[in-house]
Amino acid sequence: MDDDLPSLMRKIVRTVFFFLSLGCIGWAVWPDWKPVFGGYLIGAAGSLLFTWHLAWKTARIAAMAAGGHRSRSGFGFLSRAAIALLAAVISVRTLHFSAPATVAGLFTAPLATLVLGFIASRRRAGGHSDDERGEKN
Amino acid sequence: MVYALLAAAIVFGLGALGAGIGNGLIFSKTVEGISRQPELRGTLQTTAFIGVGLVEALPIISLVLAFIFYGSAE
Repeated sequence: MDDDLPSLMRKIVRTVFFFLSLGCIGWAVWPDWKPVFGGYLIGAAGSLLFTWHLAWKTARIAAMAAGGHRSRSGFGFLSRAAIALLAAVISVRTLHFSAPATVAGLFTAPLATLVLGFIASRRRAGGHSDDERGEKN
Repeated sequence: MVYALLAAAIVFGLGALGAGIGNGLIFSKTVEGISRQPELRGTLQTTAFIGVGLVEALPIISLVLAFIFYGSAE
């Protein structure tokens, strides 16, 4: 079975960690911008958490569909929304970081999913051979 | 004050409505596809993951925006 969700998830985690490290470098180099970089770091960490949760839920629902189980299962949207809200509350209310930077951080993992998923699907489509139908011989 | 609360309610309500419809469509088609062709499970679940990730980004961000609006109204 061509199971490419774990490999896509690994790429997303790597990308978000890269942006997290950029945020840490920014925090260290420009101390005056600490509220911005701090908010971005917490938002990006929250986005990574809810993307992990989404990948786990998707794999679980797919396994249930493939196995023919008839149990009821939710998508876990409320859990993910609660993770994002928790990140925002910790960042804005508790640590007094920048709210727009936190929102930008929450966009990191979905944006990485979009770009990396698009690249992976393009690669998969390009990898299909038309030789079976004799069109490119 | 009232307008900020109204903005918070509208931004999260409409975002959640769109996400509910979008998620339902994506997962119904994914489950249908997997039960028809279980060997395509890997591809279909990855496509569903990308789609749901995009669909859900908007209401999650709108929830945070609603929280910020609500905070500014206090």
